[in-house]
Amino acid sequence: MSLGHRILKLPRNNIGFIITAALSVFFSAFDSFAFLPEFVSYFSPNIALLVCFYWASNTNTPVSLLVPFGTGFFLDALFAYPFGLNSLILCLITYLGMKIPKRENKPVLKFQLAGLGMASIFAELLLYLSLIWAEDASLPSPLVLVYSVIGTLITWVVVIFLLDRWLVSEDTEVSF
Amino acid sequence: MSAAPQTSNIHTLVVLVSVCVVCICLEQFTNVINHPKQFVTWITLGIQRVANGYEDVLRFSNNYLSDRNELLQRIDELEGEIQQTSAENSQLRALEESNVELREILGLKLREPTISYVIAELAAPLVSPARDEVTLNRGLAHGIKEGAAVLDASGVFGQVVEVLPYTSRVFLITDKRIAVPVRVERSGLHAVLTGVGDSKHLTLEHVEATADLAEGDLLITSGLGGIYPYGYPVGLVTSLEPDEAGVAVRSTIEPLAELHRRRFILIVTGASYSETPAE
Repeated sequence: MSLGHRILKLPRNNIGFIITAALSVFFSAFDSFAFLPEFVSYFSPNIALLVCFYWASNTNTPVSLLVPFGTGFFLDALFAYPFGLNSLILCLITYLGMKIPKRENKPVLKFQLAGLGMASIFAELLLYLSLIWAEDASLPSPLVLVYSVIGTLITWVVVIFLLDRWLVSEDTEVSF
Repeated sequence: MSAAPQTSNIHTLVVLVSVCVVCICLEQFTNVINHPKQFVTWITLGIQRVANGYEDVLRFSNNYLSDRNELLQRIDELEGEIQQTSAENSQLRALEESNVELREILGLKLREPTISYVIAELAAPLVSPARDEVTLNRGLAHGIKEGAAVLDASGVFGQVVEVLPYTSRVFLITDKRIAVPVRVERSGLHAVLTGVGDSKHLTLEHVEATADLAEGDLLITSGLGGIYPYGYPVGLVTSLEPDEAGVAVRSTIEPLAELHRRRFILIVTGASYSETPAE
């Protein structure tokens, strides 16, 4: 099989990944609720990163890198980042997620958390550096990046809870 | 995982990462990527509309549920406002005429104002709470140019920094990279107004401690630089304090534009004007 075919080949059971990735773009597009204090919005997690990392590290389904690649372009358009930057970050993070060591088909928790921490710091840092490089964008305070990493790590628990439940409920004869 | 899928994955990763890097470089150095980017932006604007549709639903239900008496009362109020605005307009016309006469007497020549606007709607709210940017639903196809001034009904809103075929990206005046040449309405002092990095305040650059500036002063655009048309309100001076050396003054300015509440905004597409002495 040629490299082109291998890249474009979508493994089976990736529909769930595609749906959650699309949902992550949708939820990223939410404006912060007006009734919440402003500081709450600084803790906005990187939902797409969480979803990609989850599918790559927590499931035994082979995931396609095309999904984070496509998702990233939508995030770039949404947040006015250099076009292709979020795709690059999400592809690298999904690949990293695939490499998390597993024991009895379950990821080793400490490696998974360390991987997620590194991934979110790497993502925020790269996004920040890209803004400096692009020169036409306004620069957020570096503290906001720290808040975002914290928000991402806190939300991980919710993602695990929700997606695990969803996947368990989908674990029937009819598979995606 | 077997060796074959791993090799396949690393190949895929290398190819996709290379594509991303090429896209980033193309966007930075050429306009080749503008059309695909516009296509994706369109889709994301739709997603954003749907995601933030709850605001429209709330607005609609509020309007729908307002009772008849409230609506009648509102109509009365609006009619009153129209009367008041018409009276003020007549007054302004008279003032304009006398202003022209006075300029003629003083020998000041006024370039014909050729300001034209395009009304734009906020297509997407602030992209991130930490970045003072918005996306508007007007772009190259509507005659928008990079660097154009953006105004709202209350004052100067910001500046266009990126124009795509059907949308444009705007930095709010609170952004650190935006500088607006202003004039103190009371004293005529000229200065440059910039953002300080928070979304609520601005500051005046390099103002001497002895400058004629006071709390409560209104700042209007000076028209210098040719981006912002002359005479638009920008902000109010809310506090003044001397710096450590006592040479300059640190000012805090509150922007007059309703930066986080406006839905319809004006983009200046025509030339601005400024007062220039006659030769």
